[in-house]
Amino acid sequence: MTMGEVKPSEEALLEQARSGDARAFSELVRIHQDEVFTLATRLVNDRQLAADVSQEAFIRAWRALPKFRGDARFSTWLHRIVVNAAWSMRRAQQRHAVSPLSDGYLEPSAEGDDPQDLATVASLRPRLLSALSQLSAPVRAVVVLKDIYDWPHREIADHLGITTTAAKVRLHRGRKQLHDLLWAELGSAD
Amino acid sequence: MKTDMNPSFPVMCRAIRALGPDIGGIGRMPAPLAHHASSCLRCQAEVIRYRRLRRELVALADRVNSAPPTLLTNVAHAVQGESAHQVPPPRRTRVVAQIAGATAAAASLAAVAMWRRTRAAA
Repeated sequence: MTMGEVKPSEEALLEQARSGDARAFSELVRIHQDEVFTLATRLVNDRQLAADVSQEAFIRAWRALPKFRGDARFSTWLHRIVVNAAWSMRRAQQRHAVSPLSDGYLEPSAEGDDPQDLATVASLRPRLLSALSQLSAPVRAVVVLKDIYDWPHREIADHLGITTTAAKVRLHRGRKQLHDLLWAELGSAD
Repeated sequence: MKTDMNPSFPVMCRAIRALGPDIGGIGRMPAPLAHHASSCLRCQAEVIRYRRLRRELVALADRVNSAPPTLLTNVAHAVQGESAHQVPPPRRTRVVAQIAGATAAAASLAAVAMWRRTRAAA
């Protein structure tokens, strides 16, 4: 892109991609790849598998793009596809698994936070990320989708193929486990 | 750690711990529990811990991991490969189709001409 050339808006890119423009779609991938990869990493807790999930999700999105009507934001629609791809690929990998999936939960550092909270965040975040990685995948998925991405219970349940009640139970269990993992080594005091 | 099961804890402390993530705030607890929590530092700390946990989880929404550099190129290749199936067939295929069409048309014309000649002779 040359100097002075106006970047097309996401809507324009979507319109072009919907009519089969692979380059416009690649630009959408460039814009959304980090957020898609982050969600995938949080769901499957494995960088390599998360990369595969992200790739699969974008390819599914490309195929389904003609059906995208714009009722939800493109990123929201993309997130749903990531969850479905993560779940189906995780199941497939479980069938052929010979070794544990986790290579550690990788997140960016706390740089850039409000200085007032920095001390708290710096001490808590690494432990929180470690605690998240210790949750079972079904419990972690619910905690991630509800507490980080603010999905409604019903939508979480639909995408994970469980009942709304089961989603709520998993959320309760996940939060309790996180609490216990975070403050276990400190006893009842903080 | 199962502090909520610790028998040395007072009953009210255990009841509040049993609520776990549903603790909410002291103002949202049933009156007897709220009354206890307002004067129990241990229970107040428990409430604060769950609040911190929720706040930290929400804060993760703004954090992103950088995707591996191969992701974009892999997706671009895959997508371009798929869109190639949607574009018109290659030139060679079109030429073969045109030749086949022309041959069929010529054969039809020849058949009609032969039929007319046979009819005229009869």
